[in-house]
Amino acid sequence: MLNLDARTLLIVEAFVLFLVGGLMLLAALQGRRDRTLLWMSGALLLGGAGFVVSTARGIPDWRDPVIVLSNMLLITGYACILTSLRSYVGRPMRVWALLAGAAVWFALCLWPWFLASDAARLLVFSLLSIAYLAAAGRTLWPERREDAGSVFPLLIVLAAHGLFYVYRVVSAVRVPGMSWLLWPDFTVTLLEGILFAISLSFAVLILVRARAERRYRHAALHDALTRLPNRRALFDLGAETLAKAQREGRDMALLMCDLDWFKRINDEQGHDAGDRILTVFADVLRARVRAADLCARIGGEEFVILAPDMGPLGALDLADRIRRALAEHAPRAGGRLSVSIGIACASTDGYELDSLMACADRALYEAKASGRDCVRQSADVSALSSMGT
Amino acid sequence: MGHLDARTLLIAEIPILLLVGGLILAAALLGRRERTLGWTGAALLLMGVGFLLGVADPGSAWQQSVSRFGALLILAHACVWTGLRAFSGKPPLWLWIVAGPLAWFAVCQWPGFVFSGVARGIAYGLPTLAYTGAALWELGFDPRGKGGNTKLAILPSGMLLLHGLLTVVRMVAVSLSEPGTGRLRTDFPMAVFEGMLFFIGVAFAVLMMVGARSERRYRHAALHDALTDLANRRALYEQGGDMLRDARAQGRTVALLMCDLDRFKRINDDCGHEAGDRVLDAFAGVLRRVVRKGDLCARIGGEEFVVLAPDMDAEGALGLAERIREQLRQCDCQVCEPLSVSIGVVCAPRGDDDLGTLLARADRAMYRAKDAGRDRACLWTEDPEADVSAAVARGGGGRAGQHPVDA
Repeated sequence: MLNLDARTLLIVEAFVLFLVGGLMLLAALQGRRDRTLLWMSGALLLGGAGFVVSTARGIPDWRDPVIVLSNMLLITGYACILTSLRSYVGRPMRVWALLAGAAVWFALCLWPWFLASDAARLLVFSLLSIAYLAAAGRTLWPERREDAGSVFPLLIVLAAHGLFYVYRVVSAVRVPGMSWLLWPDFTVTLLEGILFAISLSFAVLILVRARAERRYRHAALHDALTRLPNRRALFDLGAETLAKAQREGRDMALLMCDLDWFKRINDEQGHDAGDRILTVFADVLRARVRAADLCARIGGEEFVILAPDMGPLGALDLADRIRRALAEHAPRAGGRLSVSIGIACASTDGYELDSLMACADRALYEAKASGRDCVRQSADVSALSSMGT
Repeated sequence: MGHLDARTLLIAEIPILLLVGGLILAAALLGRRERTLGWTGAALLLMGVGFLLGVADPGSAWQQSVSRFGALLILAHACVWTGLRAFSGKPPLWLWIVAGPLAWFAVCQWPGFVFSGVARGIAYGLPTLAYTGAALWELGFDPRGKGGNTKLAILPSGMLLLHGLLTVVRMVAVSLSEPGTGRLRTDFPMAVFEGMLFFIGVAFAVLMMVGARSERRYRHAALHDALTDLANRRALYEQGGDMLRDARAQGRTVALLMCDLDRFKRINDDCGHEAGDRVLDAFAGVLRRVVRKGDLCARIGGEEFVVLAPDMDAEGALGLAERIREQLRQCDCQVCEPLSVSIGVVCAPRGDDDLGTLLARADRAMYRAKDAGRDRACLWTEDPEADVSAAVARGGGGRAGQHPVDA
């Protein structure tokens, strides 16, 4: 084999683990004190301590205590990985799970045969590591639905390391006639350990960062009260959808909805009543629109629906259904409620979001002027105004 | 520690450097193409390739392998520097990136140089030191740079500083030692080891810095209005709630001003959305100019802005409202109509009202200002009759008989 020097590798591994663990600890202590990073840095630092202790293995009379202590540190490191991922999914720390592996190791080490048998120790250590890795993987597994791109790298790292240990166990069993299975070299284990620690830290950093970004991104693109997409989301996604519709020659409708007398309700019945109305209306919209429609709250009491593949007739129908549904839900919000809706269609008013909004706005203004609680289409409005001139 | 095995170190470093470099590069390519990560990943890959060539090709001449190895290492330092430049949004300086490695490569062609340990030590140390220093400058010491804005920058700064110091120490040690034979020096494994730790440490620190910054950007986007960059409604509720809690705990007064631009819909309709946006931006600028440092300005709706000012009584708040109106009158943003604003003012002595109540009261006072002809500030009082008389009616542009369109 490569014939590497085990002691050099131990020192390299200890330094790398301390360095990466220390950096992660500092990052974890910054700002929100992320527990996932905190536990993961604990895992790395414990691992580093374990390797530092094992460098003392060559000193006479120190062999047994070194074996007991270094492996307890390493196993607790694996337990910290599990705890870190448990905290990521919002589960509490379990002290028994944290200490069980080290306790098992300590108990077995009280038995002289175990301490003397390299194969038995290798087997037990590998099995304990595999158990913790499997538990960690199982904890994280359901999260893949949340964001596969950041969860799978970590799952792969855990699985690869686990499989490596499975191979180690198989080779330790020494199946007759399968000598090629034999464990090549202790140094390969050490090298694999370094690579595992580095990939693990990397994957965890990505995992934690991706979630933080996801949350802020959601907050940046959604309205806190109604949980509908906000103005920014409408402009981000809307322009894209419109461009696509134009390329494919499809129609698209934009409905601009404005709750009637909202300011007055807000003033007379208080902001709480106003907020309740907004949530009720958001629910009404959510229940009526199709999955492909984009429904956004773009201002105080202004909502926009951007509906692909919808012509003037469909839009009119949708608007009418929304109006009637709101009237039905009005008692839930405590009183009479109505909405005025202006409609613009891309085929007649153009595929620019700005112009489409302006047209819908004009139609909405017309609806307000005609006594509210009604729907107007931009095409009719411009026809009317041209008749007037 | 002096007994590190050089060969083991070299072999172990190859997969480590290639792995970290590859991961960082993958993160750079898969994510939003962060240049900083790209350069840092390249630095680690160059190191890894350098070691790989050194180990895999023992047959090549000493001179060749030294010149190649040194050039790659110096180039890796240049990449770290360029990565940190990219973090501050600066372009790569290609000439300076290749200058160091090329200079090394050139002097290596001269046999007298390659076989002198002192000359080699110094010729390798100088460019790496220059790149390390330049990287350090980018991180925290360049007053025009944006890299120093993050607290995490202290991590790579510390590592660069340490790496630079160790380089100086090695250069001094090598020049004090007797002329060598040109073979590996005893401290070579240590230098290799330190180099690896430095590059891995910098890579992780840069990764964290980049992550923290993108998180901060998303956070900013979540709490700020995209058009005016003022705090948004969510931020007002988060930070305003805290402000009121503090005021309550310390028994201080808090004033809230609700500002609503007059006839904004008409500006939007008559002069176009762009003009409307310009007006909003101009008004945000007015607010920024007038408020004190601890005040919170937020845009909470279309043309509605809120100023939350701790330690301010009714008189101060009305004065502030007056200054806002004055500044808005003076501001020139080329729209078809004269600009004015109606402001509702409410004061919470001892901060003993929640934000929702204050907003509702300020809203009502603002409406009274609108009803009284716009372009004025109005103080909320318990008794609505007294309220009207307390209205500070300095109506300049307010036209009587024009009621706000209640949509």
